[in-house]
Amino acid sequence: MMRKYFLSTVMILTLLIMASFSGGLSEFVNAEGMDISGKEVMEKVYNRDAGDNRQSNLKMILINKHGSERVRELKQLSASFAGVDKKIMFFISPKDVRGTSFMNWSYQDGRADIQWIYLPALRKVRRISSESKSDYFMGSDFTYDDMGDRKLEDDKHRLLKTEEINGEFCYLVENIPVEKDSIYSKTITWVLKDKWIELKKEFYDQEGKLLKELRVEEYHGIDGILTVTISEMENFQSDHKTQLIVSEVEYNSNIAESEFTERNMRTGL
Amino acid sequence: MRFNTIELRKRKRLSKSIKKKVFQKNKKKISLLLLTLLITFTVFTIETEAFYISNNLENRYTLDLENTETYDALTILNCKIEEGFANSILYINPYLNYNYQDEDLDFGIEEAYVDLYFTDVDLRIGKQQITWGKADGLVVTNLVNPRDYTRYPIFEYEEQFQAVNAVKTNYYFGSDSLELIWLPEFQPALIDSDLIAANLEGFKIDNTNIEIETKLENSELLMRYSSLGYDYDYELIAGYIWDDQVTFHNKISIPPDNHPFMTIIPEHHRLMVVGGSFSTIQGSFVLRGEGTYTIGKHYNINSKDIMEYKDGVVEKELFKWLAGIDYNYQGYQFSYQLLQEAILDYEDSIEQDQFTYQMTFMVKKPFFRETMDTELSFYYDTVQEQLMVKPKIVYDYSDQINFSLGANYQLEGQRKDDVLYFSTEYLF
Repeated sequence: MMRKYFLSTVMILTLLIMASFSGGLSEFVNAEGMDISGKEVMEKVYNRDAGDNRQSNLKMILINKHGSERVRELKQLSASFAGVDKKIMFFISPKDVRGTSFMNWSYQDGRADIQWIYLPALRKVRRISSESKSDYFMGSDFTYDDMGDRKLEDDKHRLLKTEEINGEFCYLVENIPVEKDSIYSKTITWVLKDKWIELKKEFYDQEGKLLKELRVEEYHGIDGILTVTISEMENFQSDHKTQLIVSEVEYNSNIAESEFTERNMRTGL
Repeated sequence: MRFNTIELRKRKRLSKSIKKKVFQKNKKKISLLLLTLLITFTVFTIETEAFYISNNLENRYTLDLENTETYDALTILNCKIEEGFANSILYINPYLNYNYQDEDLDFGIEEAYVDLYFTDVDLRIGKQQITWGKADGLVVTNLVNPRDYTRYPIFEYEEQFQAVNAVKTNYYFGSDSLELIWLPEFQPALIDSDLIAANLEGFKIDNTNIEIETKLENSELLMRYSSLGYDYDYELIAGYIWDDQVTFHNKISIPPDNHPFMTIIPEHHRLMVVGGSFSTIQGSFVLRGEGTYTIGKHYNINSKDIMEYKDGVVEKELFKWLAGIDYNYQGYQFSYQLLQEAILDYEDSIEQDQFTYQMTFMVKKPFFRETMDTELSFYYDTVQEQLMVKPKIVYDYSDQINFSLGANYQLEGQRKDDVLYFSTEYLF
């Protein structure tokens, strides 16, 4: 009798222990055991339909800790030609930067990007180093790297878990830069399931502290393509925010390769 | 020839013994300004596709550090008006300067041109500035616009050049372009005539040959082929131009009284120039280079050998090159440039050294989210034998208002042109 009682207790305890482990492991099992990995999630994000080309207006509002705002307005075009992703931006306002333009050619075969800037005051197109991607763009909270297109192989991706935000199901993916001199030790991205939009992204500095957060505040379909139209980057360490408002978006219009030339940098506006 | 800008400016002011009221003195200029504005606004109210106007009101104050007195005080109104049509743009940039020291109102047109756009061709006709080359602040291939040496200190890069009347055509082939420029009338470098007179005091000057008559055979032609590529960008240039600076020919005369005297005859000479420039990226470094080969350059002979050369000058070929490197490290921008001029087939009798050098070194760093730009630059010139340091701070109080504070200070050299300057600028 005693033996049976002992054995049944051991069995119950064993089952309880196994249950608690499986509860703890289920998250790990669910994350890793789901039919998708972190890399696959990010691959879907990078390969999400973004049209063959795109043009839009961009309004950048820089807000400091006192609430005062500075506004930059740009017009941008992007398109791909024979394995080269080309982007060109024209500054419309404020007046002291109007006419400045910036062009980037990014090579899908892995070669380094090449960049130029046109300064109306100097009347020159200057080649600039693309290695300063960690520099902040026009005083905003976005680096040149943040503004550009990161490649899948630039980071190691790990699916952490799933989460619900505002009623929407998200994958949480940790991305650790492959390059050693990145200003971020990691980023964590909340990716909307089935839509593959990065709804939120946390950026961690080299010491592992939360540096800034990017939040998508509005997105909708334009020409059948999901487009982020309002987003905000908040830098917690410097108490500064940058709002990005995208408007006048057009996809798959007639953008010729000649739009991405020195001629257009000088005359684009 | 040693120039002291500050001393000569003072002498000019002191020589103006009679000071007139501003309005009466500048009545004609004000009338011309009002007429131009009236015509401009009438023309620009024609319905167009796009109209843009940008105004810049600036107050500049420059302090002569040597004598601790005002060197210059200016108010400058600069308007940039652009009107777009279907395939063309009309651009005009009038300016109005008031100099408080001289009580002088100056009105002019900095640039005024029309741009015509065709499929693969652009055409620009009018008064314009055209910039060539990869150098910053130093001139090797940037030959189209003549220099303005009367401006001191230089606040903006474009202020050291004069706009010229030109017809510029650009043909485009993908990322490459061919630019052809025709300058129908010659415009010399602007040098303070009082400065020249002061340095040539005691000599007779004959300006008979200094003017270049405006006619077809005296026009200037320049060409540039440029290309943007993955490994490097480059430009190839060629020009049949006039030397913007005069050469001082010397004529010795012996009158009946046997007291010889020298007449200085300033002349401009024709030059043929070929050259090019390039820029490339190596990791975090931007490498830049320029070079020109010039035929037809004339040089003065030193006084002890002057009798052995016709008019005291000799014609030589000149090779000029520049190497520059830029580096960005944690937001600090470093830039170094070395320029050499080498007179080929040199003769010891030539007054100028066979090799002369100019060097610049600059550090720039923005702060406070690029609302404040700081710059420290050094300039060294073996011709003037001067080493100058130029610190500068520009603060954007808002998108409309900014303040600048800077100085030009000589660490070495005979010229004393040390100044401190301050400016406020309002954009509207």
